[in-house]
Amino acid sequence: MGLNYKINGSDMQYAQILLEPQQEAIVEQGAMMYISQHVNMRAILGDGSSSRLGVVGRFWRALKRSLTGESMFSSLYENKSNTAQMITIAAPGPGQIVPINLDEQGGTVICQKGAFLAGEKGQKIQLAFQKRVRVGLLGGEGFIMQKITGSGIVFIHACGALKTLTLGPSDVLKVDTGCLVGMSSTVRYDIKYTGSLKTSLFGGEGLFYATVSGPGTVWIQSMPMNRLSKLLLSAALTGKGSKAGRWYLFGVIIFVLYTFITASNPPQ
Amino acid sequence: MTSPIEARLFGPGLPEQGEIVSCQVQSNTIVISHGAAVRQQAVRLEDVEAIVGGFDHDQLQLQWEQDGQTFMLIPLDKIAQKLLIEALPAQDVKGLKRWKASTWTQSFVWRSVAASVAVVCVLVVIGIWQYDRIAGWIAQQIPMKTELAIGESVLESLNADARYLSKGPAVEAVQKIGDRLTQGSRYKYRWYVAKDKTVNAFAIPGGIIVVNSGLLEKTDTANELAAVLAHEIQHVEERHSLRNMIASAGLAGVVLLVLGDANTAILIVAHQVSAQYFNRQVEAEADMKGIDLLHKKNIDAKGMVSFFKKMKAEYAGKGDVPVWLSSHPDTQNRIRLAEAYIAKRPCPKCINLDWDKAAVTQELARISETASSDAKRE
Repeated sequence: MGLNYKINGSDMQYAQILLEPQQEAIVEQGAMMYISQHVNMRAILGDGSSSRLGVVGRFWRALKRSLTGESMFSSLYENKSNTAQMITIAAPGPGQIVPINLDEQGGTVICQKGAFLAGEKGQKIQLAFQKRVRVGLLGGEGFIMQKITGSGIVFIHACGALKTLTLGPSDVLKVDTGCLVGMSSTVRYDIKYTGSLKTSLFGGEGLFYATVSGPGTVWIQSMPMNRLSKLLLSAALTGKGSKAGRWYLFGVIIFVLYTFITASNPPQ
Repeated sequence: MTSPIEARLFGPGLPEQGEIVSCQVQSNTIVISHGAAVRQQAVRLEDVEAIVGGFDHDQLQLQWEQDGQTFMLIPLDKIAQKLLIEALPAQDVKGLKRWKASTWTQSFVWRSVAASVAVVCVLVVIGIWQYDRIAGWIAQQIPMKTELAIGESVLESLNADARYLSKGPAVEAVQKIGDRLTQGSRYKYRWYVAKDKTVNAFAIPGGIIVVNSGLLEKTDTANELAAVLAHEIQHVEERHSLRNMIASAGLAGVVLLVLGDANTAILIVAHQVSAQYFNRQVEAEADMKGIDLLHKKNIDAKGMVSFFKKMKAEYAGKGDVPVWLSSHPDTQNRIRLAEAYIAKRPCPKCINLDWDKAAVTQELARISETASSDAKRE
């Protein structure tokens, strides 16, 4: 019994999930837009999964989960009524919500920090630690990523437009660092030097790019959050986002010089 | 022929997430069975190449070309992967040795990182737990020459020439008792009497012991003075000040590392060196060992108890406790401990010392006169 859902909107999306009777969904805190009358909302520690070590184990797991860009608690929505109920989840920022069927990915996907938005009860969000030092330092995703395991549909969110690509065995894709959102567990993620000094200095793509090799599925975003925020910040500070500002300044200087010269030499 | 191992097969025409198959390793081929062994396919081991894959770079991926198309076999989970590696002859499969080496290197790197972190943690815990003992051990390693140099510099900083007497009847009285106590010691002791009204005596590293004139006035019998000296001698013999200096230097080092504040670190050391403050345990140790020393030199140790009692009685109810007691722990407790210690060790040979108290008193009176006339002149 999978989730019945629909994703609406284009750049600031929200997901509409139809909860069947007795069905439950785990949602990131603060993502709720509206829910039907008979949906019960409850805060749970971590992802609500039980631990061999009891409360301590659950707390430890929630703590590790909070390192992956999620909060320590999440919200559990349960439909206690006899009819289907609606819950609506809004994306936390501009970008797209992508539903992933974990059953089609071998039960595991690895996502960038904070990508998880909502999922079915029973899915676990774990800490995936990048064991390759150079990938962690230069890969653009840091050392900590999210490992989502379980079955059913999970909704992930990332900034910009999302592209899903399926790689066959021996397929290799070069990706700009920071643009990788998620991958299935069979995908190998590595970094490569761009190859020449000229390209790395003047190519505008940085010194390294990430490579992902198949088999498996990868999700790539068009606009990483940090790039968007940098652009918006610089535009907010200078009032101009593009290079046109310099020509404007140049024009002002010429105008001032011109008036200065004409004023000091009054017409005879 | 091994037991079937579950794996996922990827390739053109197969599902995106791979097809679940079971495979068996035979002498020189891998036999892959699709579904319920309806369809079988054999791959020669020499065509297969092992690749490191997966997010953690610890997945075994077997890749081969077939009719110009690439296929890949990935064990379903860690257990299946282990079984497959055991079944595969390493020399026949291209890249399998390299695969083993690279996964081993990666796990070795992280294991050694974890091990070194654990070792550092254990060392820190031991360091905090056994801090006094470690400081004491280091103090014992310091050569005598260094200790003497430290003593000299402390003496200099205390302005010894102007404030301390190094000869005269008072010093001679102290020295006479002191020499008897320190006979056969590895230290060459020097005795000073400070022109100071406060009731105090202290030891400086390298065998320098300073007794204040105030303390000399308060002592009635030579045995009391001997008890105070025996206590201070133990601070020297056990290198307590050095131990304290090292402990505070270590603390200052930690402060410097954690806060990056050199001023605080210097303050800690400076305070420690100037205050000459010892903790309860060290003081108790000096008391007990002092009594032992007195007994060894056939001096009656009851002087220690009587001096403590006198000090306690004299300053009972008053705020200003003599320095020699105030920097030391709980007087009543010390009296009790010292009494019990002496009671357990009877010393029939022990005698009472005698000294020329009159000469000392006269000398002290002269000192206080010159001190007051100095003060007037100023």
